[in-house]
Amino acid sequence: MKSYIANKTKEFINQKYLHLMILPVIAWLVIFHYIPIYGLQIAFKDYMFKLGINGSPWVGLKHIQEIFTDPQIMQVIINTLGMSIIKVIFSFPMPIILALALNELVFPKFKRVMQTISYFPHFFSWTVVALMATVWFSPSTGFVNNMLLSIGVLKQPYLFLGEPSAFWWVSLGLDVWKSTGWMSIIYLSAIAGINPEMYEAATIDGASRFQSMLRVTLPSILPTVMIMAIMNIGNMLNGGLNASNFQISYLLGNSLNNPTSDILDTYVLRVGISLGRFSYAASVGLLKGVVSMVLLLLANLGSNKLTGENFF
Amino acid sequence: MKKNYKQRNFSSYDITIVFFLLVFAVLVLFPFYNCLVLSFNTGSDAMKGNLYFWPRQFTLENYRKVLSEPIFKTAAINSILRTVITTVLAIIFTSVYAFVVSHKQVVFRNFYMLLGLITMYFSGGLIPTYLLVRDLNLLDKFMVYVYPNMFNMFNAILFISFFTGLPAALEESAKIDGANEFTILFRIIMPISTPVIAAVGLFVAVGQWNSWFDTMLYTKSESLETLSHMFQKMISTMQYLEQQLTQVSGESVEQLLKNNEVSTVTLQMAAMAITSFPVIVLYPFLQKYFIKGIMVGSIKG
Repeated sequence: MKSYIANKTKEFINQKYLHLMILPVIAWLVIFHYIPIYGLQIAFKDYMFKLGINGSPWVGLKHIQEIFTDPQIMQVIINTLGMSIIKVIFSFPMPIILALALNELVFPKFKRVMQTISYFPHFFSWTVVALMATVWFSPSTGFVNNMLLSIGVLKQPYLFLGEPSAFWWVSLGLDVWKSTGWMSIIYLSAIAGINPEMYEAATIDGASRFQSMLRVTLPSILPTVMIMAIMNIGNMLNGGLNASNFQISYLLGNSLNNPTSDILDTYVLRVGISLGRFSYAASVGLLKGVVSMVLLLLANLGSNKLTGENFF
Repeated sequence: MKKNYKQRNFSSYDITIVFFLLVFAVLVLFPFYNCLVLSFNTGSDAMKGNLYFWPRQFTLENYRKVLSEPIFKTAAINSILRTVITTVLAIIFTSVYAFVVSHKQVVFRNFYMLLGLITMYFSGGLIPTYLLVRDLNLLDKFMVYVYPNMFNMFNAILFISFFTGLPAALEESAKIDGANEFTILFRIIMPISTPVIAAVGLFVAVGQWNSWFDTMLYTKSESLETLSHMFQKMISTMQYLEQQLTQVSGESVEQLLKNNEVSTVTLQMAAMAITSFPVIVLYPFLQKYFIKGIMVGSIKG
């Protein structure tokens, strides 16, 4: 035992430069990640500025209980869930469909151009996307309303960004527009790894190209699809892997669509930062994190039972 | 191969796929293109609506005006500075971490690795992070754009998988020549790591260029304005005007439009186009690097 420690110490001294190099990064991790995790304890304390995180008094589950009696929270939870669920259902399959379609293309150059185009919206800032959305959906000058009016679908301009019943779908649409191409990269790379002999075998057996796609390509990328599904469900409350819920709700939320656009993240920001109720907001954030973790574990379990694919 | 597909007969299946993808491309490109059209149109004419494919009254005045705006200059300088500084520091920080962790025999290696991996699943969240930034006295300071963004485990994984794929002989021979680890990393390893540096550099740079939330949350001074954050304010004013517009009708709309100069829309679109330009021009050239980066990340993650 002693010689083991002595050995390790000697090794450590030999590697001193390596440890010296990594020290600033470790310090950074502790400061910017572990101190906030430690600071989460204010969810169980009454945080007061003067007393600091350590000095503030413990109050147990007071804030957690308060969440369940908060009259405003119910609508916020419904909005968060509604927006999140329609994104899992409609936004998640889009990149898979796109990747399958791109894979069926027989012109390599066209395929490359198409791919480049598909990533394009990913590189915009959410503020730019939201600003453009106000222009597209403008009731007076936006091309969406202009077009729908001129072909007679609408009789009068529709307030896409003001109508509460439209907001979740606007949020979904912007999410799909921005992220479909980017997320398809993962599926395309999974498709690229499929053994070409599988297709040859399918063709010999008389499969059409569409049948090959359904019977060869799709089952071959199923492990990737399942892992992405697990990750998406784990990040569901954020609006999927692109965390679009907060960005869209915060940037495009206004007094008209507020009944459906207000979600947990905007609520935490408003209550915590603007109203200064740090402890209460932190406990709402913590609860959301815990629910997300449970969703991730449940999705992992479900995937394991269904297909034997595991994320962990 | 080339001959092969030229000789093929195109089935209705091919045509369906091509048609589907062309529709997709139009849906992706047209909304942005439409905004570009607005940016090249005069403001008062744009208010008549029905602008689709081409400016009715072409002008460069919008761009000239935006570029002469002092706040736009401040924001552009801040955005460039935060992007360049953070990207350089993040590449150094991330590569150093990855370099150490990719040595299997390092004492505490697993501990270092674990410290990084945990951050991918757990974080303190908004409120504790805000309190930390405040306690570090970073509120309303430029460095609030830099320090919190210097490291990211996802990027570190890209570096680690690249480094572990390098031949071990590279480092051993340098060691025999008496080089220490600093020299090995920065003189020998980094110069041959362009693919991973390009991928991580692009991810960090785009994230920095597009970041707006930290400007909103942590800063107040106009001297710390950034390009992406500028648009957030524009959205609020736009929405306010749109709401007002819906409450009146007929002639008073025209009046309101004139009074409130909603024609700033064309200016906003010009600002938007200028801001998005660098990234849009850059990304096609880095495509092969970030595709590889995402693939590695998805396999390891």
